[in-house]
This record gives sequence, structure tokens and C-alpha cells, in this order.
Amino acid sequence: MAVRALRQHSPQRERWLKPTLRLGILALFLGVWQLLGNDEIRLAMPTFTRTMAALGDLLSAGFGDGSLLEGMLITNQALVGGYLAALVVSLPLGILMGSSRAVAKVASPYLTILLAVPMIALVPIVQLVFGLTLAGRIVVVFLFAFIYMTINTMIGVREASPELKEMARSFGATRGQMLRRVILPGAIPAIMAGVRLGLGRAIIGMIIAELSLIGAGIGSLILEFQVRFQPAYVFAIVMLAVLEGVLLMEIARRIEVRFARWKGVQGVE
Amino acid sequence: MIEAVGVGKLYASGDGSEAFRALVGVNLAIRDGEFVSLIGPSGCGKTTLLKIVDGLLPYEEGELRVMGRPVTGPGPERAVVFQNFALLPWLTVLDNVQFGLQLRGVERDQREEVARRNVATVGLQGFELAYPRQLSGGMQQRVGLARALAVDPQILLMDEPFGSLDAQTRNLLQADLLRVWDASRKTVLFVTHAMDEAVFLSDRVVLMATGPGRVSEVIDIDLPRPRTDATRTSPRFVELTSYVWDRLRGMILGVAETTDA
Amino acid sequence: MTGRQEAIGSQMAPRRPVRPSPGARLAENLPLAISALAIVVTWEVVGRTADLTVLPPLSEIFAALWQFLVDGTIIESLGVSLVTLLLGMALSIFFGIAIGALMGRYRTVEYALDVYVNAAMAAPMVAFVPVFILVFGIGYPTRVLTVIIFAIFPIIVDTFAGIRNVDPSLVEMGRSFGASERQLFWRIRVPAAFPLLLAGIRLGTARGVKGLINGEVLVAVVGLGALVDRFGTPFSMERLYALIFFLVALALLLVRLVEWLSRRAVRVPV
Repeated sequence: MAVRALRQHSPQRERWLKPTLRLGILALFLGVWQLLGNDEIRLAMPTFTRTMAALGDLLSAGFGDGSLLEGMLITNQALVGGYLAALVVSLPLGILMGSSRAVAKVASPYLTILLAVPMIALVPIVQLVFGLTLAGRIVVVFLFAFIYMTINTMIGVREASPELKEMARSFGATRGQMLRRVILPGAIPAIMAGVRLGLGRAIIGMIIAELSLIGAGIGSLILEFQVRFQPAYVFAIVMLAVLEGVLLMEIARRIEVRFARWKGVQGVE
Repeated sequence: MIEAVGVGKLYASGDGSEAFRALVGVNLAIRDGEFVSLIGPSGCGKTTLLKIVDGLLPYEEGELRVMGRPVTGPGPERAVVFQNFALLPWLTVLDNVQFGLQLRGVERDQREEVARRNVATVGLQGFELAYPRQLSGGMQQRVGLARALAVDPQILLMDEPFGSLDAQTRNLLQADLLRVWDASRKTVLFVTHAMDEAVFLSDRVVLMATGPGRVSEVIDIDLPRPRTDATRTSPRFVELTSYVWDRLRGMILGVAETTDA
Repeated sequence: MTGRQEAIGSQMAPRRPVRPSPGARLAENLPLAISALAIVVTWEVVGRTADLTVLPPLSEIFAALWQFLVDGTIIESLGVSLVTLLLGMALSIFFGIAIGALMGRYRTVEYALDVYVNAAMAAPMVAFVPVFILVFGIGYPTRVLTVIIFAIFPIIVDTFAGIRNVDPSLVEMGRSFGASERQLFWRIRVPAAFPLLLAGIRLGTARGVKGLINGEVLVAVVGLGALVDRFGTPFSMERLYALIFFLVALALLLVRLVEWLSRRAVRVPV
């Protein structure tokens, strides 16, 4: 009875195998999409070609007034504002909570509860306080992101290796030295994981804010095309937003890997 | 150099009842430049005693003096080499060796020079810029040793430093340790669970018993120095090692001591 | 007594310090209890005195919560949401495991799909909801589809990782006994991958719930999410807060449930 090992590929073959398969699947997917799409009926799934045409049309307006690109720019303001605010709050808070067992004990139950809150349900409250403004959308983005960054930072600080701490103590490290030279460097992989996950959450928050607290960003554009029953345009806008999300996350992942080269990727989702 | 009189360690519970006693009545006097091993079965408190001497753990009973002064915490005259190396994985070998000096605020040029010197002493020249994960276990422990030596302590405390290494590496490192020690003649307190290691390295072997942890016997090792591979096969070495193992086995099996030495 | 202690001690490993007494435990939890009390009191007082629409007093919120449970508003919506969730999760788990297993078994499938699956994990899937609404309407299909796009990808990724990253020494052992690829897959890889698979399902469920709520809020027709939209007016803030409390309790309960199920499930393949 011959044993069949997993088929081995020669390195030559490997090199073009992967891209071919990936492009192949993409082509398959697009082909199916094109076939299932229906440009005749108004409220059906648009075909791939129709969507691309719509995208081209939207992009051709450049950064002009009311254009898609301008809308993306405005939308991303909320992302930048909310995400940076979350960073500024979460990292010190997470470090504090991770360093002090007393603080952690008091704060943990609240964190668990906050984790369980569906942030989208808080949007009406934000709307009541801030109206349909950029500030409101920034707050929404902040709310989506800050819990994850805080928790991951806290875990990173708390899980500092007891062996390394004992070693540092034996060499006479002060509390400040311990934090700066042992705990924080050791916590960086977890903190960067939190930064990456927080970005993902912030992007989701940005989109939800756009769809709920409609301002001058892509949310209003989507609404405009929804009302006009033009799914191809809605889809084009959505695809661009998703693409941006994927690109940003890939950048974040690469940055995280660079910072955590000595440990590897992790994180609490 | 190190003087312990009636040292005991008690882990108290919340309401004071049913405390767990880790050590009781430890009397030990270690002279300047001596190499002393602590050996005993699991739970005899040898590592606990080492940490107490370094000031990492408090002790509840008795008196402990190092260089004449009572022990209240870690100090510059003592340095530890850890069983699991405890190297900072994000620092290079050179930076790891400098760690203790950096904590003390020694200037960059000076501490780098000292670090390089110690890296060479332990035989890791050329690996200054490597990271711990790129090194074997034996090499990592050499870094640990270099780090301890770099702060120029009077007393070297070693907590089963070769415990996680394979037999071949262990033998090499034992020889290297003696070579380094010979040159500086620091006082060494060495915790181990291997009888041959204890006998090979030490001037005296302190046998500890468990339930609760205490000193059972102190054995003089009258083997000549310098100790070499030849020492390992000498009759006296075999005799001493057998004796230590005999006593240990007796403790572990809870049987009364045998009459043969 | 000392002799007996010695005998016991020589056989046991060092015991951990004894558990703290009830008195000590109370002292430990006191700061938490105080903070909780402070929050409750402040909320009630500020709610009543400041008369902000956006912060109703805690008592009114609990009254509204009670009202929900009594008059069945929540029950109906909860029912719809649960159906959507169960449907979405069932489909996600079935197809997620299938796809993940295929990726784990056949390298061709892995190479073809991995880029897209990983991208989908990181992508803001919620952005597709407006498209779904336009194309599939506001019924079950849209909501279930939203749950699926949130939940399926972690399941695929963890299933694939579980099957692919099985301890190589086990696989080697299997090969040495002459197992075919098929036998290796079903007898070694699948059972060994089980824990990671469960982890994927747990994560998928957490995301699925988010997908459920997000989808229902954005669609705003039926289900618990729709209630968010309904109560999100200045005149029903206490009901919105009550709903949020309810959702949080539900989420925490669901987490416990999923963890309990996980523990039961791990005992099965002994």
C-alpha cells in the first residue's frame, strides 16, 4: 500500500501557483457576480461592470464639491479624530490599570460590561448631545475603539513576565525603572495588537457614524443614491470604503509585526 | 560573608491560622571566597533560601547578615543567575549584559566596555548583537552569567542555573564557571538538584531536608582544585557523590539512614 | 504533631497559601462595591435634579425595563432577533467549518482563498449593509446575511488554523502507521483541531451578535436593533437605556452560555 504524501510542488511551480489560484478565484467570483447581476431591474444586484462604471463616474469628479473623494476625506476626519482621541485615553489608562492590581480589580467589571455594550445603541444618545456634527461622529469612533485598546494595553502590562520582574528587582530596579525597562517593552506586542484591533473597530465606528449621523461624508452620498434607487453607485461607494478599511488594517498589521518581531501577533478581540 | 542564624520563613494565611512553613532554623556561615552548594529534594526550600539571601523574599524569623549588614532587600554586592535565564528578549546580548549597570546609572561608554569584557569572559565574543532567541540555552545562560558578573558583585547567587540544559552543555558550563570563579574568587551560593554537580563545583555542600525546609547536614568537599574532568572519575569524588545521593534518597523515600556511608 | 507534619511535608509539593477568610474577601471587594454604589447614587441624583433629556434617573430606567418585561415588547423583538441569530449562526458555522476544513485539507483551496478570507476578517463588513438593504430589502435575508458576513470569517480562519497547525509529530506518527491523507484528516487533524474550532465558533458568535444588532439597527424594522431606533428619540431615552441594559445582560449571558457549551463539547471527543 503506497502512502501518498501531500503533493510536493517544486519551488518553480510554487511561485506562480499562488497568484494564479488567487486571480482565478477572483475571476470566478467576478464572473458569477456578473451573471447574477441584473442591470435592468432597479432594485436588483448590479453587475460588476455596472458597478465599475459607477465607480469610474464617481471618481472622475475628483475632489470637487460633493464628489466621492471629497466625501471620503470628510468621513475620514471622524476616523482620525476619534482614533487619536482613543489612543490618547486608552494607552495611559490601560497602563495604569495594568500596573495597579487595586485599580484593575475595581475597573475590570466595568470593562466587561462596556465590552458587552453594543456601541451602535449609544449612537442616539450621542446624536442627542452632539447633533449631526463631526464632533458627534468623532465621539462614536472613539467609543468603538477605546475599550479594545484599553483592555489589550492592560493585559500587556499585567502579563509582564514575573521572572523578568524578579530579575530586575535582583539588580536593584526602582519602580520607575521596572516600568520603563521591563514592563512596558514587554507589553508592546499586546499594546500594538490593541492598536491594530482598535483601528478595525474605529473604522467600523466611522462607517456606522456615517450611516447614522449623516453629515457631509459618504453617508450622505450613500443616502442620495439609495433614494435614487441606484444600487450600482451605492455599491461602488461601499466598495471603496471597504477597500480603504482593508488597506489601513494591512498597514496596521505590518506595523504591529515590526514592533513585535521578538514575539509574534496576538490580541484580545 | 553570609551569616544566617535561625532563619525561618512562614507564609501566613488571611486569618493567621494554618500558616505554611517553608524554612525553619537555618544556621549557615559562608566564608569569603567560598563556593557552597545547596542541595535537597523538592520542597526543601533551597531556592527560597537563595532568594531570601538576595533579599527578594522576606524572612520572618532569625537573623541574616551579608557582609556584616542585615539583609532588607537586594543590594549591589549580590547578583543572581536564574534557572530560566531571565534575559530581556527585546535586547541584544550586549544590552542584556549591561542591564544591571544601566539600572545603576553607569555611563554608556563605561558600561559598554565592561559589558564587552564580560561577554568575552564567558566566551561569547562575536555574539554581542545577537538576540536571545537566536542563541542556544547554554549560550543564553552564559549571557545571564556575564550580566551578573558585569555588576562586579562580591556574592554570586545561582539558582539551578544549568537545570534546563542538556548534560553535555552542563559539563562545559560547569568547567567554564569554575574557570571564571577561580580568576575572581567571589563567594558563590549555588542551588542545584544534581549531586555530581554539587560535589564537583563546591568547597562545601549543604544538604537540606523537607517538611519543613531546614538544613540537615553540611559536607566538606576536600577535593583538590583546580577541578577537571579527571576529578569526576577520582575515587574520592565517587565516594562523596554516593554519600550525598544516599542521604538524599533516604530523605525522599522517608526511610531511616543506612549504615553504609 | 510536628512529626506528622514532617511526614506529610516530605511527600507533598509546597502548599499554596490558604484561601483568605470571608472578612478579607469583603475588604478586597469593598472599593468595587463603593464605586458601584457611588455610580448608582450619582446617576439617580443627577438624573432627577439636572433634568437632562440625555440622562434619565436610574430608577426610571429600571421602571422602563420592568415595563418591557411585563408588557412583552421585548419578548417579541427578542424572538425575531434570536431566530435571525440562530439562522445566521447555523449557516455561518456550517459553511465556515466546511470552507475552513477544505482550506486545511487542500493546499490549492488554501492558496486560492487565504488572501480574501484574511482581508474579509479585517474589513469593515458593516459597510455592506446599505447595499443589502437596497438589493435584498428589509426582511430576514438582509439581517441573516449581515450576521453571516460578521460571523463566518473567524470560523473559517480558526478552523483552517486548527486543521493546518496540528502537532506535526502526531501527523508523522499517523503516516508511520500507513495512514492515507484521508485517514489522517478525519482521524488526526479534525479531532486535534477541535479546540481551535470551538474558539473560532466562540469568536464568530460574538461577532455574529454584533452583526445582528448592527444590522437590525441599520435596517430598523424588526428585532431588538429596531427597538434601538424606535427608542432613540428624546422622549424615550429611559427606554433606550433600559434596552441597552437588557442587551448587555443578554450579551453577558450569551457569553456564559457559549463558554458552557464549549466546555461540554470538549468532553465529548474523549
